[in-house]
Amino acid sequence: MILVLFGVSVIVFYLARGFPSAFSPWAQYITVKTKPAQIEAIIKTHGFDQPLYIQYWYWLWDVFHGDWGYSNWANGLPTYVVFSSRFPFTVELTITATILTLAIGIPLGIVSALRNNTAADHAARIVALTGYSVPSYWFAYVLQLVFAYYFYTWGLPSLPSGGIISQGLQGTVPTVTGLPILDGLFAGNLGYTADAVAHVILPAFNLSFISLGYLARIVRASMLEVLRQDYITMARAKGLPERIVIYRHALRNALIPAMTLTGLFVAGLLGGAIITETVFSWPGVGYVSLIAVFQGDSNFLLLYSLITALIIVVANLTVDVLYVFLDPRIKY
Amino acid sequence: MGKKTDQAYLTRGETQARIAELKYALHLMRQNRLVLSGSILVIFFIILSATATTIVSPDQAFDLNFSQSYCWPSSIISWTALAATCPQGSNFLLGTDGFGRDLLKMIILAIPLDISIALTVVTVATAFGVTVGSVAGWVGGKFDEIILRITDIFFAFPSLVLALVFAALFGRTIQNLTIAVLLVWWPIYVRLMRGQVLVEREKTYVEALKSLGVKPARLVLLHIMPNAIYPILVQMTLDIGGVILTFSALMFLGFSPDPALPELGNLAADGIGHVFTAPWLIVFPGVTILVIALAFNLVGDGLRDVLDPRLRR
Amino acid sequence: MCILDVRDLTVNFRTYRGEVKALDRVELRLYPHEVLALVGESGCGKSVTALTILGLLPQNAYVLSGQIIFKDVSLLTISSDQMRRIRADDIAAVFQDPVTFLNPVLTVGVQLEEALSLVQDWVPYVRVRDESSSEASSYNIKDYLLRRNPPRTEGSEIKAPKKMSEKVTREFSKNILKLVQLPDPERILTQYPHQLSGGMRQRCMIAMALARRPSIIIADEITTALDVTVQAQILRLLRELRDTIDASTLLITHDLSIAAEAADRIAVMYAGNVVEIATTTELFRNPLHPYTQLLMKCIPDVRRPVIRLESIAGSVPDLIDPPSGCRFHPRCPFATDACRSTKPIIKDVGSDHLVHCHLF
Repeated sequence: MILVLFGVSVIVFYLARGFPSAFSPWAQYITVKTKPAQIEAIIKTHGFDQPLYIQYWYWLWDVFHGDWGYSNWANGLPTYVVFSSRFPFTVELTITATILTLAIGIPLGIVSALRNNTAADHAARIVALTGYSVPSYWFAYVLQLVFAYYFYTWGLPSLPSGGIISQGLQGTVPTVTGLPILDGLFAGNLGYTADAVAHVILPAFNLSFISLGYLARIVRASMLEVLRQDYITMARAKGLPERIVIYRHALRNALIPAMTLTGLFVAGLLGGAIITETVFSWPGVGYVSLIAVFQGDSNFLLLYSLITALIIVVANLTVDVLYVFLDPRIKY
Repeated sequence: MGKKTDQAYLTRGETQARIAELKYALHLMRQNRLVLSGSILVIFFIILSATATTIVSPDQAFDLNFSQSYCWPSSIISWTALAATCPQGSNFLLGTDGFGRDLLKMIILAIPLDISIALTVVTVATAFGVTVGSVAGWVGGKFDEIILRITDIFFAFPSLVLALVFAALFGRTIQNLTIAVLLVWWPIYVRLMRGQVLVEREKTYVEALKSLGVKPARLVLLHIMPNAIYPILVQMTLDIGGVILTFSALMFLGFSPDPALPELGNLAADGIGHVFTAPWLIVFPGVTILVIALAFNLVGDGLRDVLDPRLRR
Repeated sequence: MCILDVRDLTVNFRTYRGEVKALDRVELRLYPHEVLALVGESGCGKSVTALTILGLLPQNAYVLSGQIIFKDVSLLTISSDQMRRIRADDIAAVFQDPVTFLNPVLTVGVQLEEALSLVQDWVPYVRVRDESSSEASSYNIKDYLLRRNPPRTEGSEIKAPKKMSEKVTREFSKNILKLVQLPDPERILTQYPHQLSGGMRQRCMIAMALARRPSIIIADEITTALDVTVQAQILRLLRELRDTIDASTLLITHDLSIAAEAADRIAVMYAGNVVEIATTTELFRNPLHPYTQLLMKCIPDVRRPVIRLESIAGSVPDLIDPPSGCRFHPRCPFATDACRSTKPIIKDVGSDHLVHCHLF
């Protein structure tokens, strides 16, 4: 695992600093007012004039001392502050999207499996496949158009088109967790919470639409396989009502692969959903990472990619462990 | 009766069995109405790609006319309050883009570009990935370990991010962007093929063939490959949609070499700043991508159902 | 008089390659308190018969004609809900190879308690037992299985809990496991199927069947997946339980020697037909149908040295396109023209011995 992280950092470092670009690595540390002498000093301390592998060593050294660099485009804040101030919003988006995905995707897959080859199955299949055929940026705009604009013009209750909370309500609630919905609940301010929910629904749905397609297909496939198993015949032979056969016997087995997929999905989302966040002006980590790319901010990118890679690696491990718990046949 | 005849006999028997299987598979696919419609759509799009330049001349892409940009032909359907209507007498079916070109014609020109890029990426990625994967699976050992780690590192990045990074570095030409997408896509084939080879390697028919003295290269190519090919075929079909989505996303995010390039994501990008004044610019190219991807995914999904031996019948 | 009457049962399967005529006018009768063995090669339709009786045929199968009468109820015409009720109360099944027949993610205890929870006239027993738990010892599991009412003590009130309490269920589960001679039932209830040995799993399955106090137990190849010593144990268990439980058993097997050891009557099946039914002693003493005779010859006799093992020429016919007339005629040494053209009807040759052959 360490090896993977190391590999990731090397690759990103090389990509960020090794290629000639319009931005110099020290651009993040200076403002217009910085004098040339100060610039020289900065270059010396961070080793920007040295060959690439020595730069890497400098960076590693800085990192071990807790210095991840600064991001000039974000008011010169340290990169980890930039990251951590945005991360809770991404978390809120991730959690909501995951709930939506599970709530829609799993029943869709079950319906497909139980009513195999009927009209319901075909309908469910089209919905699921549309999920992962749809370009997420396009869907985001369509959602905005329909629910924010058209609903508004047609006089229907409309959803906001972006942001995490309405302008007027910003800052009216103390920040406990950083997630607007939870903060609103902690403060007992239901109006705030409702507003936060209204803001998160469209982007969350956008994110989940794509994955619920995958989830539905996987649930369907594993349900179909489970339903052919002998123990299902046995359960029916015991005279159990069909409902129990499906929910207690079949689902428990069929959902195991679905759970592992969900774990990976969550990990991917925590890295920030760039497109969704951009379209909905959602100030999460994905949104800022795009800015960082266009600003050539290697420090932030290094931090960001390492954390994302870490999350994915941890998620993989967690999923493996989860598998052991869910399936009593597997022993380590 | 020499070794050669034994081998030939084996292969012949295998091919006969496989032909019978394929016939059954096709029969199953024909039965499913959804998959059938998906296949028809796919064929339609492929024919469209091949004949697009005869329907719409490519010069139309350069036929810029700013006086009629961002307009919608009929005043009957008014998209938004701010949308402009085209001057009388113009016969644009889907409105115009920022350069005053007919959107429908641009979409027709864009389809072959996207589809051909997708086919290229998938074919090359498969060819490369399958080769590397089968060697890794067969040989095992250190080589296998290294390949696994490399694919792990690639998998640690979400695909769009990786493509973005490559795109940002390589520069904005279509070739470079294609390479960027290719680099994101090949690891999955390596892993797939490797997994398949690992499973097949333990089977008794491989042992039998080895004892007959069949050389490894021939064994893998002629015998293991056809058995292992099914999940790869499914993945290829599903990936065509995925590549189109990723490539157009790259264009959409601003990596297009030329703002006037007729490419589906690029056409949609034109509409970002005009969501409320010219929404058709985003809607129609997106719908096209959706339909193309859906068609390929329907076929791929149907293939997966049919070729999965556990789900048969 | 008979508890299960299968008449003229014909079952087909719809497949890609054609219609499989799996059962062809099968006739069977099962009497109370007896063990009837259904013997035949793999693929001759024994399991299909069992599944049809249970109403658990897969979707591509359908009953073309015939009747199954169980205690005056026609099983093929009742609703699936009623059939399910019968499966829960009256007809229990035990299958082969419990590794695949027990749910791997649920403990044995949960699966056993499931079977218990469906028993309908459970409540009268529970009522009394709940209130006067000191009666537990005087009310034993064998009484329960034989549906004998537990003794009532003076002044014990009858209050009815709607569902059995957990404690009571656990007690009964343990008792039933003890009945099938499983050591340490307490621990077994908490274990998963893959943690038990084959013999233990099979006993659990038998326990699940017994718990419902069925009138018929269908045992489908229950010993096939076990090794010989365990096989013997299970058979002995069944023999001992025969006196305890009040059920008839339909024992399905491909092994004639198991049938010889455990059954009162034997029915021989071939390619979807029942070709001969007789009591065990009668069948071995006087096999009439050519197939039965050839089968007997195939069993090597340990007392006499055998020079070569016997087998029956030919192979099992393809049921999509079965032979015309009597399905055995391609392999029968005594085949006549009548055998090739028309199907034989069942004849009773006396002393309850039925044969399905033109020669009689």
